[in-house]
Amino acid sequence: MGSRRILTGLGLYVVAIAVLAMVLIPLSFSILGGFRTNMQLIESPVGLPNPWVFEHYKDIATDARFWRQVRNSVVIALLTTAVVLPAASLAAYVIARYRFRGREAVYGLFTVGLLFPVAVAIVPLYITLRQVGLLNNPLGVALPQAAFGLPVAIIVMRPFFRAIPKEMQDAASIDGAGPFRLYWSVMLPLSRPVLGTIAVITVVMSWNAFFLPLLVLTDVDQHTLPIGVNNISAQYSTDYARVLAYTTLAMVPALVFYALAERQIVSGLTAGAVKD
Amino acid sequence: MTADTGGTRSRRGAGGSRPRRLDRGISWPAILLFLLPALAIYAGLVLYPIVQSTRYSLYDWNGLEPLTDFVGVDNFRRAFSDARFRAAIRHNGYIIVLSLLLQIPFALGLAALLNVKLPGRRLLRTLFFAPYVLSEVVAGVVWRQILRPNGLLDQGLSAVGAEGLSREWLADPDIVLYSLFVIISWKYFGFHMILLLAGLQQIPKEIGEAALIDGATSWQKFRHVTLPLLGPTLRVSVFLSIIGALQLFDLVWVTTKGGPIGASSTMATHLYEQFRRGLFGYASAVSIVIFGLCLVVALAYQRAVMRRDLRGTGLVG
Amino acid sequence: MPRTPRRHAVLASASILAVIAPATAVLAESPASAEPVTIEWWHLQNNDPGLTDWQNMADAFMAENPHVTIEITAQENDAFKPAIQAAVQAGDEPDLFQSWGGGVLLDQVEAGAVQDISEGVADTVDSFSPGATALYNLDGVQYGLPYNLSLVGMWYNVDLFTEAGITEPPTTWAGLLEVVQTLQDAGITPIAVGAGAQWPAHFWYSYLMIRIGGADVMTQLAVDNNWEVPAVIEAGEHVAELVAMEPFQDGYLGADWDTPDGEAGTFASQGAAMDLQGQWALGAYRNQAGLADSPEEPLPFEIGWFPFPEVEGGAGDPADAFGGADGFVVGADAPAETVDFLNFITNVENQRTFGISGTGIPANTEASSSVTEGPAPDGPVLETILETLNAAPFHQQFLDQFYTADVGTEVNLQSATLFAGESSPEEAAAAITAVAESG
Repeated sequence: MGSRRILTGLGLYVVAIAVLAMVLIPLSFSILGGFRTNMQLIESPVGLPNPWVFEHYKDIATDARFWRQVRNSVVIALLTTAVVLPAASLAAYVIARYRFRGREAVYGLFTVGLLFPVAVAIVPLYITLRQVGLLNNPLGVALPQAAFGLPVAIIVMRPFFRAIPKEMQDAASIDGAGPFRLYWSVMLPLSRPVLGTIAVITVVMSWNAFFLPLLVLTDVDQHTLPIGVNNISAQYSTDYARVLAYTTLAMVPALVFYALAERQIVSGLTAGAVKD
Repeated sequence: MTADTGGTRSRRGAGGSRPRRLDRGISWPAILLFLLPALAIYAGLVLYPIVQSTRYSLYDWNGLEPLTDFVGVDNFRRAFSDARFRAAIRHNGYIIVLSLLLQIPFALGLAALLNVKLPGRRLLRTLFFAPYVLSEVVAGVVWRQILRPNGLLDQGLSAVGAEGLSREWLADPDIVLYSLFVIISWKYFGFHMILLLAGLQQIPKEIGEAALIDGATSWQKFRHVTLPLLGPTLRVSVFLSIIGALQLFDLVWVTTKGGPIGASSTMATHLYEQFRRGLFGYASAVSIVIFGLCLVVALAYQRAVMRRDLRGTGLVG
Repeated sequence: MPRTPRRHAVLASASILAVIAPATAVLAESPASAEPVTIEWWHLQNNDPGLTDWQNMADAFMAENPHVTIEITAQENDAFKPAIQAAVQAGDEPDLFQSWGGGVLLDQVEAGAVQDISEGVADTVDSFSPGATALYNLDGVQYGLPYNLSLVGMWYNVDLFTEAGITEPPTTWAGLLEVVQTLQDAGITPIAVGAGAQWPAHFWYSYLMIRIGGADVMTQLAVDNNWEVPAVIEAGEHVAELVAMEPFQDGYLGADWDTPDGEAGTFASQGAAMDLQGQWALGAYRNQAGLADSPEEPLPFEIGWFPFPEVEGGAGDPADAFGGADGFVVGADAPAETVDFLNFITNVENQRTFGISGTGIPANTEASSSVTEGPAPDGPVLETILETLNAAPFHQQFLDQFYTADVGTEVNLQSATLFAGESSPEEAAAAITAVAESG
């Protein structure tokens, strides 16, 4: 039995390492690519930097424009998440735990946003944003992003809220708590894994969004990182080594955020909290 | 939901009676208040634009001039007879099948793996998630370098003496879709992994431990305890995977633009093409057809698979 | 409103809303107002040297005209297109912006997004190459001015030619095919092409049409919308002939233009001997070769250029040119000072700056020789291009810009399909006609 245990353990590690390799190789290509020149990339697609070129990373890290874009991306990502989490959890909560007439219709309505190709909605969306004066404004990006992020958020949150046992709800109601108290004091704390998950998904989606920010934020000072990456491409040619350096740097904040949020996702619910 | 650990209303309603009009413990105003924030921004920024673009589908419009050229259902007729659109739909179909067969089990296995107390799993989780964090543009650039003639993959193959297996991974119209699938899986498995991981985390340890104490093997525990409890999350993951496959755009566009010559097109890249051609009315019609298709799939899925989750709501018997 | 048939050509008649003229006449009134005005300018030079050069031009103009403020947004090429479309759609277009004339400008004119500047440029409009200015003149009304000319021709690696024993570039199509064969026999990839991006492929198809059909046929295409004419089909046959020889780099069907593994990267790393591209390609090759920051250093090989060969028996003049002209057009609501600014940036002095910096070929005929005065060592090659450009009796704009976006995209797609060997010349012509007629 013991040796079987060891074999299974080993087997797990082997799989983990294989997957790790598959993940890391393209990633390291991106990171290392920033240390090479375009010519190196052409002549030997596979290979270590030779010589190591630090200019790309250095130039970018000392460029005020880059940091402005980081700031803008962070602001928009935080705004988007700050809108999605409360709005989606409030809605998902009642949809999941209370029955009311029209409930499934409301849920279905939210699903519609998931099924409709976003590309088409952009044109009328742009006009709407212009009419309410939200162009060239981080909110002009954050609000639509949040709106389009609601379907996934609600769809993912609903089963989580459902799964929280009724005993918790009953116990609190007996204490006289209304639905909002229940939501705030009981459900939310228990839902850290799913809230963390949605936060991460929302931040990543916002971080990498390109098309909507491009249309809404014409002012260079408002540009986000993906627009900045795109601007490295000149009218007639692209320096790919620089692009790789830029995007590698752009990836770092999002990864850091995930590493931090990951604690919330994983350490959230334990059996002790649920059972009484 | 029979998978609940606690008793739920659904048991009470399992007799198939109509749902109560309104649960005790909540009032209509309260419900409205809860729904209001989400509904408000959703209605203004999602529903309203969708309705507007539905209007456009009835016109021949280049996106610049006023909306004057009404053509009724012409655009729709055109969409249904468009061979390139049909090809795109087929491609989406292949991707859905491949995703369900390969991507989800893979993500599930990894999530289970990372749920176990392996040392270094936190680092592993972050690294496995990294491809999802990477922007589509970078994924496209990196993978194009890997799959280009004499790129990383080709060189790897010759290193192990398997040059003969080398192909034009992204330039051969016959295999480009499969190459793309590999890239798609690489990029998005992290998303499903953390979703399933969160679901696994929510399962109380005691239940699993109880099963093991009762003499179940790890595999049996997984199959008979974990999987059912993971059910709802798993079903959501599959649903999002299907919908994601239907809406696939960014990664494909950045990597192949749907090429070469449309061999890797998806419904969404085909749609975007129509915008680039200045055919806004037609594009809107195409998007409505896509929407219709997604709706049918979503409804069928909800009914067939998520029946149990909906039991007691009166929607499903 | 009854559907009016679409006319695509610069020389087309009918269907322009003459309403714009009186409406914008109000705006084009006396420029003597000293009220502060802002000019919003969208251009494509999002990198140096162009970025700094044009900022300097704006600063100089603002110094001369203190009541004017110029706000610049430098966009990347592909990002500009959806951005300008959205802006025009919302009625929010900038005051001065990039244009390529042709079908897209026609759409913008019909949407009332650009203004008639014929009066404001009456004195300056003749300083430019007439073919280029004509692209911004629809139905006798001038909407913009050109600032950059393009010419497509055959770049080649002289060293590789010498290696294969080729002493002179070919002047006929048959000669070109022979050169291809010779290169192949010497183990050198003859041609680099980014058929994945599709538009590089349309250069081949279009030039063959121009050589075989000549100016008359090309003009007639725009009027009749019928592409199923002998010249087009024969052009397709020649493309098929070339493709059958398999003269391109590996993976050409999926290759892009300016990536390390694409057309520019392949040519710059000496992976192929010839490349049919515009004059801007030189900058791209230098960039790919890592010479962007060392403008004086030459490429690691000797580079040459020859015009697209003539096709024996073709009706076209071998001196006909294929290429475009970038320009700026003025937005419908732009203040009168915008036209003054446009005249300013396209004057001889500023165009010379443009040429010397190597950003392009100035459209202002007095400034065009400046391209040979830059720091880059490729002066002689650029002179050849300039001479060919100036001597061209007929100038065909890029097909994917000359026509509407729909037809242009179809031409690109059919070009790539021919390059894949997946359709016949007849099918290609029929497909384009179908799209052209539905417009």
